[in-house]
Amino acid sequence: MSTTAANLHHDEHHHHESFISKYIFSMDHKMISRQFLITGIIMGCIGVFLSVLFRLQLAWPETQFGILKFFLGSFAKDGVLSPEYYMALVTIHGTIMVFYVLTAGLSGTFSNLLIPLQVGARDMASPFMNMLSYWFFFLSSVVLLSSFFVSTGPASAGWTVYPPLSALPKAVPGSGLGMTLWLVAITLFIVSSLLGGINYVSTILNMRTKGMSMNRLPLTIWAFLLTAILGILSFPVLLGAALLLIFDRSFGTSFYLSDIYLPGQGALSNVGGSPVLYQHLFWFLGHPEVYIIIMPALGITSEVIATNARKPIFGYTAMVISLVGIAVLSFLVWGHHMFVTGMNPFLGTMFMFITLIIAVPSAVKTFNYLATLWKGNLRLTPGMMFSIGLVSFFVSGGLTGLFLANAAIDIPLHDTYFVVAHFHLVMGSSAIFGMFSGIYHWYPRMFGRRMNESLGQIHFWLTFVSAYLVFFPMHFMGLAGVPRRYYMFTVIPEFNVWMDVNVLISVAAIVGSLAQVIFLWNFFSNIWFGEKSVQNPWKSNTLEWTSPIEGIHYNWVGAIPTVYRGPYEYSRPDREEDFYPQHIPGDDGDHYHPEPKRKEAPDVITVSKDKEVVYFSLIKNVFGLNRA
Amino acid sequence: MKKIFIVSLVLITLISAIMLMSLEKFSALQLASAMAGDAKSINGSINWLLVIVGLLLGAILVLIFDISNLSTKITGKKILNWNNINAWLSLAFIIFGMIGVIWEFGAHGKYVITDSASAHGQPIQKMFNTTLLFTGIVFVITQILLFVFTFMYKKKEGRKAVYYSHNNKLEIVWTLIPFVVMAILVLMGYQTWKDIMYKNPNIKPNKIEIFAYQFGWNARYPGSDNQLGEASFNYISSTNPLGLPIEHEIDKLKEELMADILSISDAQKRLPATYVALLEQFESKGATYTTAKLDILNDSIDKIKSGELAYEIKNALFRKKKQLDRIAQVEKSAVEKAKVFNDVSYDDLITNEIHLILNQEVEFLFRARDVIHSAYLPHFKAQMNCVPGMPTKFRFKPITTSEDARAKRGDETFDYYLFCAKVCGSGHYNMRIKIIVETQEQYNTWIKSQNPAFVKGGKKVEPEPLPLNPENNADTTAKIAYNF
Repeated sequence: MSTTAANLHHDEHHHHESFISKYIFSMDHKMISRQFLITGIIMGCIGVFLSVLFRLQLAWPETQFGILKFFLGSFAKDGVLSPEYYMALVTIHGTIMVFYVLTAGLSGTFSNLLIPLQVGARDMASPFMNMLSYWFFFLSSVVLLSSFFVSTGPASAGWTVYPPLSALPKAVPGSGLGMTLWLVAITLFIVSSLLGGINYVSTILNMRTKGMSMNRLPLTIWAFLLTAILGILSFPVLLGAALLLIFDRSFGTSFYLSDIYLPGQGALSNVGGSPVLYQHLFWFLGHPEVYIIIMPALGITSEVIATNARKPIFGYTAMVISLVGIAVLSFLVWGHHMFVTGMNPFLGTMFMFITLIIAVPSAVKTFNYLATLWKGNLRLTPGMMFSIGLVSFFVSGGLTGLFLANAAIDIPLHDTYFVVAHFHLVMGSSAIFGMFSGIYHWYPRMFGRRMNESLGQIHFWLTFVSAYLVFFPMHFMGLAGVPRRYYMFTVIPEFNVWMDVNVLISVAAIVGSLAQVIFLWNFFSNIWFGEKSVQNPWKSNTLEWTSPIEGIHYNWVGAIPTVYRGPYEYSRPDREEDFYPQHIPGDDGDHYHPEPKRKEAPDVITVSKDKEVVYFSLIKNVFGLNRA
Repeated sequence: MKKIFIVSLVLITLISAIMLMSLEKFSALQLASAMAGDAKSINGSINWLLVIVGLLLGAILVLIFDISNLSTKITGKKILNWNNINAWLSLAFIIFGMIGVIWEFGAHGKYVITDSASAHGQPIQKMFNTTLLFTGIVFVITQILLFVFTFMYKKKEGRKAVYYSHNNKLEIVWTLIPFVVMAILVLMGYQTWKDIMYKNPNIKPNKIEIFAYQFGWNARYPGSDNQLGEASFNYISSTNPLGLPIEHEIDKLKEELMADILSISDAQKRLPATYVALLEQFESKGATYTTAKLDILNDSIDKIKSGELAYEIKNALFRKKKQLDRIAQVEKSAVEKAKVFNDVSYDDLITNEIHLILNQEVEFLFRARDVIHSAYLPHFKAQMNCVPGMPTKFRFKPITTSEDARAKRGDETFDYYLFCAKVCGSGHYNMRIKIIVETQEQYNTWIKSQNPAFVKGGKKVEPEPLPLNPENNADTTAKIAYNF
């Protein structure tokens, strides 16, 4: 195996790359990660922009806005948003942010960038599948965005698209062609996610360099591994749910439909289905999905905090165990989204129990972050600040989860603004901050240049403060019984007291989204004009900084570095410098982590050319056969 | 490069200004009227002004940092030491943040519903307070530690961080503490949840059906026989919006359906002829029509040409025939028929307000007509989804009358409402029904003033007050049977 690989390696170095093979249909994981990131950023801008549009409506209903008229045309007659289109904006905002930005944009970008670089591999297990993964994602984004140009508007049944609402075009106009496009987009997205996930898992399990045992993996890689496993196990269920919904919508089946009467159509012929079935299938993905979103962010934070605190991450093993715990438990808690759907109350009890238990590993992670900061020597770079922001949001949003996890308290809080506040803090803001942290930290690794620090710091503080201003007051709205997804509050006199809060939230949201302009400028201009980075700008231990900063195909000239110790050996008392890179040989070797080394380094370039090798080595690795 | 940046900022400002100009509200006149005190009309414009001011401020800030960067390059000294700035900002953030949180509790916490108008709401509130206590402690400690650590351990040249990679004892302690807290919350939560969901079967609650549709609610009271007729979506018609099993209504519906089927199949047969006629119309009269009219004509021609109309007609026929089949199915079996078409529906009352009797258990039986709705009663701390095809229920006991609630709040206009909490379409935000909690006497007067929706054989059934259900006030400590 290794001889073939070496030969291939030799050949690949000399082949010429055209513009198309280098920048468009690239199979280099670093280029693919850039493609994921930039597509994610563009989708993120659209998602944020949509939220500003509906925040305008919520704060100043009945006020005419030129901007709405300009962008939405007949959907905002005289500059006032229509209720149908408000629903569409909310739905597409949710879909874009959850799937396209925080799943593909975050996990896709950093899994692609860091997995081969940090485990010491020349590329992904299958670069071709990796490329397909990006292009399916791209196609999916295009299909989703194309639904804005449909005359009946995009999907508007909420990002969870519960049937019957999403199945009946007569119930809401967005459930016509817009909904079909949504389902097609999500199907493509799932394909992309699976192609990526399988690749990540096989790369991490098979292609670690010499000495890179599982207990020397950086926590980012652990997070990406578990995220990919969650995705592989849960996305197919969403695919099933989406397919059944497509059948119900287009082929007259009744999986989710029963006993429906619609004015203008009369009693429908669908009998015997159950809308609650869809909710079970959806949340079987939907709940692991929020961990698919947050775990990569937590992984990035672990790495960034340890590097910038110049301290070993506190309790590496506990961090890994808690990640595994979160991953396993996340499959058993989906029912807490359904306490008031009429589900058997006994099930509610079980789901409440497991959901509250999942708070334990989350708490352990938070405490370990705090312990890592304690007596550190903190370099407060933008990346570090965003990681600290993540921990703050994770605490604020995570704690409100304890209210919602409790079935009895959930009864009056379900589907209110309290829920909106909760998940925007714990999975929205927190994961976005993880993403920003990763971008600021690995920007030199991605583009070989530096971002402007001052702009980064301003970006952080504006975003951080405005995010809290947006989401914190929403808790009180929820506790006062204001349901979510309401188009306006002026028609209900009791809710009029919230108008000033709505104005505050909207102004904060506008300021927060304008702060992203600073980021966009900082990000895009420095790709070309930024100051050139040195090889290891953060004095980090991990392997990605040993590969040439200019970014060459197959990552290392010559042999892949061998790993001698864990990734978080910062400020070792026996060392002069405050870091000790993984690849530098040392006398004490495994003194601090006396674990067995991995015997052989599979120096494989493009294993996809030899598919059997991947599959067999995957099976071997899983059953521990390759020790023999 | 810096020039590009400044130019782009100016461009953004200009674009926003143009958008602002396109606001009809924004004009010198409006600005003047706003200054004269008409604040409402200018609301939008002022915020746009704020946006522009913000952008300009941003540009100025960028220029300042630009200069500082330049000077750093020239002199080699850092003017902006972000490490210190961030440390102090973190400290300021946690101080002002905590003040802000306390301020929020005062400013907006007063709107929070803490007093529940239902019996089960009180344990929920207690549960909530316990959770708030635990989470509040954790929130304050962790947030303060996070930002104070950021402040205290900021980078200093020459200092080395403490090498401290793990401490198993400490980690076990802070795994066990959350575990114990969670165990307490789980046990308390289980008790509360069980008490809400599994009620004493010896107490027979008053039953009210809550019917949800796009976009409104109806309540159905059982009338003097205390029985609700078995309604079905098959029987819904314009004169029978809840689909009660009323024989003469169903006969009418069947006739309508058969007439529909005839006319639709007729249209199906005439479809080719219609197509030819439309085409002729398009060719001959096309020139004299307005564009809008032509578009409509064109659309109908397209609809036939693409087969869409034929498909729709086929579907409609299938739907109506199936509905007739289902109605006939019930009537075929004598037992079924006797079960459904008993007379209990005739005295059912359909109302646009929900009236509840103080201190008497009530069970809401939820039904949805078209999509999922969620009956949300914030003041009673109650919520349950209304799912088409799956009846759901929620049982509770109101303990505060509307009058008392008004007096307590000092607000004469206050009323309890039932809102829709599950997104259900364009009218979702305005889908609610008033709830009135009153004494038995007041309730009796109200129910007597209501008219049953249907008449049997020309004789109206007079509504009678519900007999005070003696079992409703039965000993609540009686043994509870759980149906796990």
